[in-house]
Amino acid sequence: MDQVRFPWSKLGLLPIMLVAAGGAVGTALREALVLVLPDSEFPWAIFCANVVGSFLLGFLLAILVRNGLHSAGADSRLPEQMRLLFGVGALGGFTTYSALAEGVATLLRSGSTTLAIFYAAVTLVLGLAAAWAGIRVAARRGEPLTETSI
Amino acid sequence: MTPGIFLAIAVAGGLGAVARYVFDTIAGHWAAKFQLRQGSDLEFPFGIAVINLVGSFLLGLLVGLSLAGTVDSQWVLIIGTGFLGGFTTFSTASVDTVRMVFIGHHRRALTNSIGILIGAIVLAGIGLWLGSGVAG
Repeated sequence: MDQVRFPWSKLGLLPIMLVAAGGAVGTALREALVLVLPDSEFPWAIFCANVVGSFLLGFLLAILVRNGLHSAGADSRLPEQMRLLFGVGALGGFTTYSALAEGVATLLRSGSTTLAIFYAAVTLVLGLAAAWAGIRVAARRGEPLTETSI
Repeated sequence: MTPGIFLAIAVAGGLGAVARYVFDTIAGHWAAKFQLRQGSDLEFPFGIAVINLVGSFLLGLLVGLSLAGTVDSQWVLIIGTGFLGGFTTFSTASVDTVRMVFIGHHRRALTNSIGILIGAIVLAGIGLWLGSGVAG
């Protein structure tokens, strides 16, 4: 099994610090959004964070790929660091799956079945649309979207 | 919400993100080794899926425990909003699903989106039920 070496270099101090820093800031921004938006039955803060975060990640990754991320030849060190800080860290911290799932489950348990299904479905659909749109916006004019765009 | 709690939430979020990154890196490595051995084309973000499922269960459990009075609300904020919020990720799941659609892996895209979401909701519900049954 030594054809696939354990990725020690990915777990070094710098990558970990980048993810930690980005994650802390992203989480802080999400919590700030929760505090700023008024309380309501529909979880607006989490919903907005998840949809906006999906858009931003699609956009970020498309930009980074164009700048050498994942390509063997080019030096992808800076793009990879940007991915860790902003993608894995900040947007990973800004968006949350657990709050979404728990939010839906709580709505179901309290009898708000329609709202629960609506919230889950709209988050899912708009999240995917947002991710796609982010990739689209990052693409150059006339450039086709392919699996290598991201 | 004191500044101290807010800071603790942020730091916990950073730790959660690191936990996600480490787990996902290792999971990706195992998947690659398995793929090599089986000669199969896995190409599915198992790491993120497991993270989101486990994180959703744990948040359900935590919130359930706080409803039962077993856990203080500030711990729900720090461990729940903070750590588990940083641990789980919706953006990565969305982009991964879109990628699968681009490549033509439509069934995998459905699994990664609707499948995992339903799984996470069910697990969060089980966590809520279990946690709220444990009186403080």
